[in-house]
Amino acid sequence: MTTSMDRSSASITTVLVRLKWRLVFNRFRTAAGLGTVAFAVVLTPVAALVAGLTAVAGPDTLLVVGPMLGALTWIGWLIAPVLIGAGTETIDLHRLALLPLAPRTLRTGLLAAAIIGIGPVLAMGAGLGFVLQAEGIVATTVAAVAVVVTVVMAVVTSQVALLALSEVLRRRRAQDLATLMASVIVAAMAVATQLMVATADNVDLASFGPIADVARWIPGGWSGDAAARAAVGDLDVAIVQLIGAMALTGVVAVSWNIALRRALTVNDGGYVPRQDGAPLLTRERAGRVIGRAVLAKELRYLRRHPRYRIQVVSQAIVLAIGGAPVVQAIRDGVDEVVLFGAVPGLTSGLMGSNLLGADGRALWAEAVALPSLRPLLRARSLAFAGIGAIGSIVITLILAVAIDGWRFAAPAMGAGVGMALIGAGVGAYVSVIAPTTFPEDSNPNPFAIDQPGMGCINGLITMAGVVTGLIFAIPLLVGLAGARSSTTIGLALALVAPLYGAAVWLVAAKRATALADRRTPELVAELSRT
Amino acid sequence: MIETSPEADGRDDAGPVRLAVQMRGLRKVYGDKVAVDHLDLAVPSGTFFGLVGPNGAGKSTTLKIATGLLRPDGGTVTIDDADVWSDPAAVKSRIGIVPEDLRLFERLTGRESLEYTGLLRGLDPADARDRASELVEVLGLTDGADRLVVDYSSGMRKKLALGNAILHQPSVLFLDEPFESVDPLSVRVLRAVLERLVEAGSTVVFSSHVMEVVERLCDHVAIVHQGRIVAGGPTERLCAGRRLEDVFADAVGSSLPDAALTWLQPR
Repeated sequence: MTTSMDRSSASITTVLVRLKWRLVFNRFRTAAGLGTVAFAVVLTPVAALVAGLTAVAGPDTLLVVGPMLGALTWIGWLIAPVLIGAGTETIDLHRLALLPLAPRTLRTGLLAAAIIGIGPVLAMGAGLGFVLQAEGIVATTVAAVAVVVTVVMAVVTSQVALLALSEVLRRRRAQDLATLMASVIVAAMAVATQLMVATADNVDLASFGPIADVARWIPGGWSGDAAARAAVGDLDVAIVQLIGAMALTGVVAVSWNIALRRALTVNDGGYVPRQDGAPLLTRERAGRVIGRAVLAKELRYLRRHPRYRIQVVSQAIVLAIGGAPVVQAIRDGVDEVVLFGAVPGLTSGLMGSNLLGADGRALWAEAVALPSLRPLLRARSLAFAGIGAIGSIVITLILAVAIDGWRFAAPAMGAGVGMALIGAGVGAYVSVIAPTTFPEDSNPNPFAIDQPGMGCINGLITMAGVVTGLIFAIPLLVGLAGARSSTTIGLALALVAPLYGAAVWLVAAKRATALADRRTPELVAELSRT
Repeated sequence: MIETSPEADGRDDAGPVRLAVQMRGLRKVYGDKVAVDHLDLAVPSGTFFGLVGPNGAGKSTTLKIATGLLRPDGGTVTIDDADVWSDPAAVKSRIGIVPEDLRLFERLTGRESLEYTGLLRGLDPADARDRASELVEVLGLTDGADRLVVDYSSGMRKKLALGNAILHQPSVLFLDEPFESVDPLSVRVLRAVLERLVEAGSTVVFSSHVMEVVERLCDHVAIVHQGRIVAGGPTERLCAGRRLEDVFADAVGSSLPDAALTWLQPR
């Protein structure tokens, strides 16, 4: 009798590849497809640019770019899926484990399915320049095989890592950590990019030689270097490196096989049962109780939710970047630098531009319990304003102590409080017109939202909110400029800025509340959408 | 309209039946799909009311509209005579909800979640704390009371959601598939709590696929099919000695055609 176990690897591969294609195409029928399109639109020109530049580059450049590109592909494929939780959709072993498939059969099918997709195609496309540069059929073949091996090795290693970490990655704390790490890595890359741009005049590709030397010893770098050497005609070394890379890919594939067998026969933890073991500003007591409860919950979330931790990290990085000229100013004895203390107020206040994001899917519970969303929005918004104001005051005091610039402390603190209120008020309004839900537990990508395809639109609205916040802050910025030369303006700013900020906050919060109450069902529906 | 009179309710006493929930001409359309089609329903006060229907019949949409979480395209809903859309504050204070998609306050602990809901419901902080502690114990959540909700199992989530929904002793409690993905022991706990709530005078309206549970718990049943009520009334009268599952199958016209799966032959 024929059973599924007897099926050939080829037929399972066909099934899985078809499944993957169907998943890829089905994405385009949903809003999630927009994300895929955006991914392709952004990365296709990058891949084309790399391919184009390497197709015309000289030998020295190729020998630097080849290993670096290969190593980057390998490291990226290894880290990114783990950090953003983006495994191949077909490799859901929870579903496949019940099928009577041999690990080897499954491995072949999963590998074929993993290589189908925009990412692998673009990665191979980026290596096209090396193939075009190679002269002669042998060199061209070696370069082409090296490019393919680079991607295959990256994909296989990534699958092994995902499989090995599957149990850990299902734990909430690991997901939180991955989220935080992803944000730190992205922020570090942003800083590195800024540094490169800042020092662009002094950079040439040859200066990356030492980095390329290191990259050659990273697995992806072997095959990348092989592609580059084939392109420049250094065929002997290229072939040796390619054989080494293929052997290493084989070793990784064998370990994948072992890991798959273990995952299909040993409980990986996924099936283990869990061990169960009157609004703030009114005088009504009930309202105050609700306001305090919301405020307390928001402060708990600021401590516990990974997305808020990321925002704190981002703030710290922004301050660190901005801190360099401040430190220089302190060294130079420029006491006006104390006025810089007002800036964190605005940025921290604007952190509250998605007040409903952290618990968006549970908004229904608050919506049915509260007669109005007013205390909810106000308390959450005030939490951000408070953090901004306190941050601003603390930084101002530190700067004032550091440079003995007390004459600028009062205007800086007043303006900081005002800016925090402006940021929080504008943030409250943006929260109601462009609400998005932070993914809670399934997607640790720090930039993901739970409304597929809406990221761009919401991003634009949030950006408009930031610009609006800056526009409202112009009078305070003008006041800060005036405070540099006039003590009277400084004192006036210290007194008027908090009042002005409070007025902006009150109007914005009132409008946000009215809008939220009018469209509560739509807000709940929007935040529950997947 | 179903069950608007004592006769329809099968009761002998005179006088009008007090209605906890009344829906008239409810309609909701998603694109080409009519989810709720001029649905009329009346739920007598103090009853255990079951809303049953096949997948996609419109049960969840109806419950969402009834609780003000979804705006209908037409029709009205009143809870204890208060209109859901013109007097939402009055309605909200009277109802509790356990939705099917159990998104709770994920980064609070179970105990914090209950206390928070109590405070939002306007309870005194001390009362909220006391009720939360008692519910934690009664619902068997003691071990997980101080763990974050994000780490809860589905059974624990259902229990916590029920606790959140009854903390303020609602007049009407709506539950969407409350027994889905819940182990039998947890079902017993949930059932006992719901029965206690009805004994205290509240009305419980819940949707379910599990006919046995509906038949055992509910004194009134309505069958929803293609967005309309196709049968309903007191459970005993509706079933008339038959099993609810058979009544349901007759009402929605579901049976396996004789010609289907002919390839399943004896070995």
